[in-house]
Amino acid sequence: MAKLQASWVHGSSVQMEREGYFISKRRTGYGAHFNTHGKEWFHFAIPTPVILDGQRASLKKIFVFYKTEGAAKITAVHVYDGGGKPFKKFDNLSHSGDHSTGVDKDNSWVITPVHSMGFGLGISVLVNFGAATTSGVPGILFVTAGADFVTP
Amino acid sequence: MTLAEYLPYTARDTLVPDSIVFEELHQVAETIEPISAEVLVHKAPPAEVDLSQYLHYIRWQGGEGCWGYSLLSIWDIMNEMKCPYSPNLSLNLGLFLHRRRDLWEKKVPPGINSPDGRFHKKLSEKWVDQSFGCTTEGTEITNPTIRWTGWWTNEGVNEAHNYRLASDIKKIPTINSTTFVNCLANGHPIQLEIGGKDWGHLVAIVGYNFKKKTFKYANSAGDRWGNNGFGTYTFDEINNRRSGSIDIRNAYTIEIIPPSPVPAARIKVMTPEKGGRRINVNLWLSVEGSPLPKRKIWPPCDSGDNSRNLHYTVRLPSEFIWPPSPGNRLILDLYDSAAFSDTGGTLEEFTAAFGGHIVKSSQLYSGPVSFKAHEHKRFYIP
Repeated sequence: MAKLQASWVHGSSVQMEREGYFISKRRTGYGAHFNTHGKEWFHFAIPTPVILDGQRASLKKIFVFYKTEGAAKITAVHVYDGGGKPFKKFDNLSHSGDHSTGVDKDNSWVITPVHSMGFGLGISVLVNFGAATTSGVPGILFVTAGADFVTP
Repeated sequence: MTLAEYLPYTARDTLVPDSIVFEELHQVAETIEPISAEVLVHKAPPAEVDLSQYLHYIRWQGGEGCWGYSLLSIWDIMNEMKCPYSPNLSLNLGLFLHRRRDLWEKKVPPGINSPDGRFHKKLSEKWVDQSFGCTTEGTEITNPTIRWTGWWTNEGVNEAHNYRLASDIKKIPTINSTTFVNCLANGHPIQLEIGGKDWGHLVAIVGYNFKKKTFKYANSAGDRWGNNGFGTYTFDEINNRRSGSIDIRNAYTIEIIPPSPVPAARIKVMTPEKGGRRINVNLWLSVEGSPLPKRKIWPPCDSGDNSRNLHYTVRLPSEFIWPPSPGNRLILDLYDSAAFSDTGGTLEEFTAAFGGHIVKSSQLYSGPVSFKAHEHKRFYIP
């Protein structure tokens, strides 16, 4: 019987790819809040149980809980096993709204087939904040991110 | 460079002539093929183009540095067109590296390390602007009046990447009114080199008027020079490459990497024409409740800027978290020292913006606010 293991990090640990004053950022007890314009990548480093009970673990599902503001939307999620190219890409997404409190179809992605993990798991999220607006600066709140692993 | 090696320079009167930069520009001009600007032909150029609407800050260069101030004028315009409310660019590093050529010219290969460890190799005329980028006035205020100026700053390292040239400065292959009109009609202000027998200068061509057959240029002598800081050349003067005793020499354009919006404040202070001379205000930006010191944004130390007005855009203090709110207010402190003019003046604009989201000071809702000589006033957003 397959054994499940899950690993999560809090949203306050997320890293933006580019540092600079063009991103207004705030880390709180309930997550990390970013406001800006245009497209930006954000990266989660997930603690990865590569070996579980003497067997190699495989990635089954990933999760990113978030809440968008204004025009911001998630347009891609890429999944990494250590370095190199992503082994799984979820492109052409258009996810927005409040997906910060529970698992739903817009904040979880099934990895099929399961991927045998060799190194650390990275989840990268591309957010399109959109163009400049007069009503406010688009934003996103990352609350938490995680993954389900399975062993044979 | 160690601190012991660095300190003596801080007291040294390091004067490097502008002629060195002119020689470098001439080298650019002589190698025209690889770096000539493509001038797109505008089939029906508008009757008038005035890119000065995008140029708010009229610089005052003091004795030297026209090569930098004119470049920043055309760069400011292009930033404002691509990304409104971009901060005005600073010549702090430009003057520093101009005067401290010993730090990079003699290296093999020529170049310099920025404090973040990157090596910026001199591959072109505007190598720093392409590789490192340019800092802004709110971060590294330009001080044109002292011989020693500038240094790297941590905040400058964090912002300069947002303000970079996409390629080296490019020479306009043919200098005449038609090519200038085409450049301007396509949104490219022009850096123009003029001069006489033993001097040279650079200005920024920012517009044209077909009816008057004139080009408008921005100088870098403050806003009491010419017509609020601007002058004109006729089409004929450009075509004949001569204006009175002045030679019209080479002309250049730039391509920028469009910057991302950053939270910024735009401030406009005016001194009355009647009885007023140069502006006397001191300006500080701060965040309400922040333990960090107020950021002095005007004037530079020992400034000789004799402008009557200041229209200035600077990045907000880095500790400010967008958006401004009643519990998170941005503060502008204004003090009129009356050092040069005892008329007082008016604060015409105090606006914070991040991209298209613009928040004005509620104290200016009913119009400009006057201040008197020796008066301190504090303004808030919101």
